[in-house]
Amino acid sequence: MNTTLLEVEDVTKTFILHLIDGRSITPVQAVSFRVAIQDHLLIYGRSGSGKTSILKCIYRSYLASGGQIWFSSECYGRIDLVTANESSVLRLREREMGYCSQFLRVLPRVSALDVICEPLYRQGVAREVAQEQGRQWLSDLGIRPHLWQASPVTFSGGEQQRINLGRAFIAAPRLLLLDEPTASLDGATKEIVVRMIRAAQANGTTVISVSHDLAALGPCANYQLALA
Amino acid sequence: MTTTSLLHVADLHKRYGPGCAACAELTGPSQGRSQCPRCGTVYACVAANFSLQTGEVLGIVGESGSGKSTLLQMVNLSIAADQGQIWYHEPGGSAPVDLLRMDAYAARRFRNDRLGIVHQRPELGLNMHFSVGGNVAEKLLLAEWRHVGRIRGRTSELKLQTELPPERIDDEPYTFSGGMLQRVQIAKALASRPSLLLLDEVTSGLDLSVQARVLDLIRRIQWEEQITMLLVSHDLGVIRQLARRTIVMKNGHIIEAGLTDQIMEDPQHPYTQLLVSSAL
Amino acid sequence: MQQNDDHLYTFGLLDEDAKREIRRSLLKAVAIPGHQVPFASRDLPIARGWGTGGLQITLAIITPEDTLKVIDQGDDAGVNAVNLRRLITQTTGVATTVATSEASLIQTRHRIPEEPLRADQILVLQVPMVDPLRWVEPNLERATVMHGEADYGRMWVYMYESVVRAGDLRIASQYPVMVNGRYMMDTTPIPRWDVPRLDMAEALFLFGAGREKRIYAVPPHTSVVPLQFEDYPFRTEYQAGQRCVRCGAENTFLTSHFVAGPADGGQWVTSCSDTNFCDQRLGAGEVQP
Repeated sequence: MNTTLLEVEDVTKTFILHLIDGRSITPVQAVSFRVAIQDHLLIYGRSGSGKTSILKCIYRSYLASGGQIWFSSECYGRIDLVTANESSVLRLREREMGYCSQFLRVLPRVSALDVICEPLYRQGVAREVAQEQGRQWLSDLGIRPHLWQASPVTFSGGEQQRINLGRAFIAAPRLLLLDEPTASLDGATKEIVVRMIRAAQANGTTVISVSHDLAALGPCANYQLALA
Repeated sequence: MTTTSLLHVADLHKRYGPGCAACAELTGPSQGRSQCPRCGTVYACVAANFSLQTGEVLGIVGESGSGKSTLLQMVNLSIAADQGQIWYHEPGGSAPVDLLRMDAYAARRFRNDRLGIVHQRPELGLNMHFSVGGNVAEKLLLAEWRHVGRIRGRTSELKLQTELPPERIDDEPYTFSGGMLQRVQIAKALASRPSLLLLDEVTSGLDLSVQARVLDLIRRIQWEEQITMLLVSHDLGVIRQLARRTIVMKNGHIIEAGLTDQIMEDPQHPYTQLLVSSAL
Repeated sequence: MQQNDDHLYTFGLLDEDAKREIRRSLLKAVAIPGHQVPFASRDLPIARGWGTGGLQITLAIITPEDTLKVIDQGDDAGVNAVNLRRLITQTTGVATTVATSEASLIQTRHRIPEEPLRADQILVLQVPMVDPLRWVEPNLERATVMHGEADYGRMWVYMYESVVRAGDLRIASQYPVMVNGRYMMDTTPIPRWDVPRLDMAEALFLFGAGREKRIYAVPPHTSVVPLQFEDYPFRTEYQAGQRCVRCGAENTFLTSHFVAGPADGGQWVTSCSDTNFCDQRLGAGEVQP
């Protein structure tokens, strides 16, 4: 039995929509699960079932309304991501947690190479060293070299998504959160993504992915969690 | 205050006017105004509290008149605060000092050595009668650099870093475009290797293509120098690209603070929800 | 008050209240070396801009026992010197001299005598431009604040740019100095040659600007340091091999004259600007032909 990396206990997320007469909606209701080191947990369910909300609560893009999220970090030991102070969360994001959103959101006029290297730059990795790694990732992701100096804003949806994934993988985080990693990708590229997830796992990364694409991701996940 | 806090702003106030008994009730975000209708006093900043860790980029967002620039100018020691403290802890230094308790001479010295500021309008940050090189050199001269060769060396370094054309070092600022002038301001702000860079709506006056390149430059400098930044903008896109934590201001009050993506994706305060939902 | 029916004027032309006001400003100026003290510049029988600032100081501090010397560009016989000397002696009756060593009070335009001054001598300088910050901050109020806060960064940029543009510090006169490590002062009245003479001097230097209504001072034993860079130090006008055609002095401030010649149409020659110093060397036979 592997050691636990993440324990989600009774997490609830309620939004209060002040702009719409203050009504509240609760997409996540008392969800609990555990993930061990090097596991791959796949969370699936229909659209609007709160899959992404859980992921964002773990990454602290959302403030959980209740419950605890215990993360066994290297920096701080066992820490509750719901209540941890912001600078600790920022440090964990820089060193231990990666998040890949559904859509790539980058500064215009910045090259694909710089975009993919960004997490390394942030960590203070020297430019040359970072770019060496970045070029490797770009070629592994099947991005043709003549596009490397172009801005990803001009890329196709599939290419953008590959850059987005590369950015999440390049920093080799201990916990990787993937939101619909195979959406808008063709069969061949899905294969590449699955291989990347497997390779990351083999290197010690724990993965939590959210998807409705059970066909592509199901086979590589150790555990699956269905949300109603 | 944790040990790595570079700056800790505590209970900072700034108002313009005499104030009256009704002020507290009639102003603030819940009332939707910062000017007291009874006595006319404007509350530009009320009880501001925040900390800034070394190497961090903190965004201050809010609409015009929300008090964000006032807050920045108080940190820059160019607007005198009415009340409160600004504790500054030099990295590797001994005890934190309250910047508001320094005399004018020490404050000017501090502003020159430890702070760098980039204004929205270049005329505020640059002397249009001096050359671009002279403007950048000013910070070094104020820091008592007295060797022309060494000053030239440092200014050339900065030109390279901010991607300014080196052959135009001795030209007058009015011959430069808006985007170039922002680069000159950035070079000047960085000259004395400050520990805190203050950015006041730096890209607001620029067209979109230039805006992106200036933001990219600022971001790259932040990565390379790990410099701490306080960034004021009304543009959520700018804040999202640069700041990792964000403060939201309205009518002189800080109404919400958090991680930037949390502020954008899960805003708590009604006003922040309105602000985020209104962004293009 | 010295009111003599035999005289047409009070001693020193100015009324006693005016003199007292000027002396009060002088005291303040001496107490805060290099600081510009405003004063109520009076109308005089000569036009502003012709030395009225220096003249008012001289008239306010002169006593019947003084021996006066007046020079213009180092020359006792210059037009300005002759006229001012006549005005001062006619209204005071004090003794005059051309010998620097004999004078107790020296009024001057543009020079400090070559001969070192003593502790019992006062030099009064006529000032055309008061504020060194004028070049970088035309607004007087803001310049005053800059002086108050010793905020001289912009002047340093001006110096830096003059080096970068011209390759050297090309400020001929009006060279800025720091007085007593605190106030920046203009040296408009004197050439760079004379600037080092202000530093840690024995004599008292009083500066008066009639048009700009300012008085300032450098007391004895006060440090006066020119603005300079480590790699571009302050330099005087001295040039190797320079020489006065009259007395042969090789280490004085020179002026040049055009001397018409019979054959080739003439030539430029240089001689000591301080005529008394030159004459004394000639009289003492120090001439090296």
